[in-house]
Amino acid sequence: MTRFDFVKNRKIFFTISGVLLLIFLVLYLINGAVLDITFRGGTRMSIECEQMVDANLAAVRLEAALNKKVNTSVMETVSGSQGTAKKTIMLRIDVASQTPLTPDEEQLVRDTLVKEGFPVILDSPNNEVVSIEPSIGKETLGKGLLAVLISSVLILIYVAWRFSIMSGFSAAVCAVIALLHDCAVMLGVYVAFRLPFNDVFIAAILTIIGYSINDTIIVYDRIRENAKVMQKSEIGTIVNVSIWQTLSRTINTTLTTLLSVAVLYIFSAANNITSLKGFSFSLIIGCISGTYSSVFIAANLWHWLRTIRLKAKTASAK
Amino acid sequence: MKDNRAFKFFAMLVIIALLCCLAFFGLGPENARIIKGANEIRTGIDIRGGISAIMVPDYPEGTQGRNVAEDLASARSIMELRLDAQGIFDKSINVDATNNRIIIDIPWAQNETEFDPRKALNELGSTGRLTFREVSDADAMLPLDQIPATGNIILDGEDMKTASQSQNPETGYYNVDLELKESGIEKFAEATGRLVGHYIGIFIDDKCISCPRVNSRINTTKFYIEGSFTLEEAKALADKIRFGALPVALRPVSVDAISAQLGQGALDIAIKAGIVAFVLICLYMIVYYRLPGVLASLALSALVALQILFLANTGVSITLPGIGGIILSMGMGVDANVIIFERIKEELRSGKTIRASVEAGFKRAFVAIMDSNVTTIIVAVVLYILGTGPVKGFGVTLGLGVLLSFITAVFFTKTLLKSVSAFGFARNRKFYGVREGGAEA
Repeated sequence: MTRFDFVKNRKIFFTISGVLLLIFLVLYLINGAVLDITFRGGTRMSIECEQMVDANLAAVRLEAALNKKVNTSVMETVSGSQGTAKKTIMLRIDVASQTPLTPDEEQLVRDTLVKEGFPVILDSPNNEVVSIEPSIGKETLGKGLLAVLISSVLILIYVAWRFSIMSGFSAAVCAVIALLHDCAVMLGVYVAFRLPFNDVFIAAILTIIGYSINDTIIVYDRIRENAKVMQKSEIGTIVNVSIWQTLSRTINTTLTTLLSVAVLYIFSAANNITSLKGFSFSLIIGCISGTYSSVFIAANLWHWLRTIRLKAKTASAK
Repeated sequence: MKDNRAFKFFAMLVIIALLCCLAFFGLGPENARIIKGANEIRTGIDIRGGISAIMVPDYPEGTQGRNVAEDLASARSIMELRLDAQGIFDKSINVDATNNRIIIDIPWAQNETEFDPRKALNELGSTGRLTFREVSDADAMLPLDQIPATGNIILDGEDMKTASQSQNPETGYYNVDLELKESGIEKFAEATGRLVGHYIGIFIDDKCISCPRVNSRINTTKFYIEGSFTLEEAKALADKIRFGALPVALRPVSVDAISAQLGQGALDIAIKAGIVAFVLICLYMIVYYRLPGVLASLALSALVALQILFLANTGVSITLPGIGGIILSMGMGVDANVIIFERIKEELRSGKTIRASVEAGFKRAFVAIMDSNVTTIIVAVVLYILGTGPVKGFGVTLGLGVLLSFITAVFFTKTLLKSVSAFGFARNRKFYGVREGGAEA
């Protein structure tokens, strides 16, 4: 049985990733990104209701009262604990603006809902208010991006140092490219599904950076080891053999990680816990993309760059 | 030699069992815990419910030359005292010195239903500028909250040193004892000398909290307000005077009021998800790797137990993303074991003995595990330093999980694997997921 050749077929993988990212880019240009209230600034009020309410009607009434753009949605969430857990209907009111609602405006929202006959429970312990000035949201976003940048640089330095046998720096650059690939895929999925970006997403993307680089390093580690043992073989062969040798480890680790994250997703989806659901969903995407980029992209890219450079060298030598 | 290994194996089992028991039940009597268990892990605001707010200093326009960091630090300690005075002890107030602001988390008190977080924060952040002012005899007859703050200022908060209460042995009522700084003596002596028989009002902002009549000229640092105070009244007044003044007003720019019940529901579900994920991972490992899989499951229990013990005993608050971090690090904790077992399998296939394969497998896997773990720890540290709130908590649990998984994989799994060969059955290659004969299939 001839084994699948990862190196020879690299063009396929590069194309798949390229096309996918291109689709995401186009979608982004068409749809734009949805920023959660925590990034845009504004106020989010969650008010418990006795029964299902018409969210759109509430939005219209509130817009008239507040004279501001209002987004509403109805969520069924789980509340209470052990044994007594029950479904709760929450009306969520998002007002995105430069300044959060004043206490008077918050009261106006409550009064309007009561006046318009919505079955709201104003003294429910489940009610929540979140107000954020846009500067705080921008800061969270900025800090997240900064964390991605700093992590990438530190990882670059560490990988360049530890894998000097793979001409360190270029290996490190390829590892970081694979990593940014995963970030881009996660961003893309959010754009494609029109999910709102929030701080939970930032946490997820940073986790995936840690996870994806992990996978890449295991493959690199094999290349490093095999390069010593198989000195006579071509680099392409070494890369291919190394990917194959680490494949069952990669599959097992991905499966166990996916298993735990998927369980978290199923549990939070079944009970409609928004924050955990978003978190585990982005981890699932990142996990898959991370494995893909480690197996198909990172080492192949490194080998490809190396070939190009060698060609350039021999060309200039002539 | 053989007995030694068997002993080691059982010793490891006992250690793991002890760790698990400790993690579940803790150690020590209820009021003086030596080691805290799983139930005593602090939960973050997003699980317990409460207010999480960011407050920034609100200097009046044209203010110059204030040391902002110093102002915030003293504002923080005053706010802590104000909350302590209300019986709210389990809060956290932190000064974010780089961004000049205060981050404050206050959990709901038990059974709290009616609570307006904005109002509470506005009160908490109000400067409460303390002043002693002249009050005309006519105004002094008004109810306290109607006395206008219009008279000349005699003293302000900067001149006050402290305030407390003490019982008057003759009447049985309480006095409020005040102490001035040296800076205030002269001003106060002059005013009290002039105003004997008249009134001085003590104001916080423009609200009068006390309006005593001056009985005699006061030219010492210590004096008292006499009246028919009960202990509570005297203490409340002393507290107001003592904690009265923040150096600067604080304005909440971000307020999260989080419902406790929703958080608790989410926590229960996250825990259930964690247990199911743990069982599934163990099953997968056992089915795929056989005997080593069983041992890895034991090591994984030790990992989870250690993680719980660490979180419970350091007082790190665990948040929802933090729980995600634990579940994820469980998945990743398996990784170290997977790398080792894959290596051992390879060595076995190349025809080595089980003992030699275990030895070589660990040695070769070590570098790979270390390199991959270091990079994940880099990310966790960056998250911890840059992140706020939940992201920080996530950094802690992720970093801790990776670190502990490294320790459990290279210590627990290794010792278990090496010592289990004391038992005859464990020397059968079948139990390692490799077919008899050793040649590659």
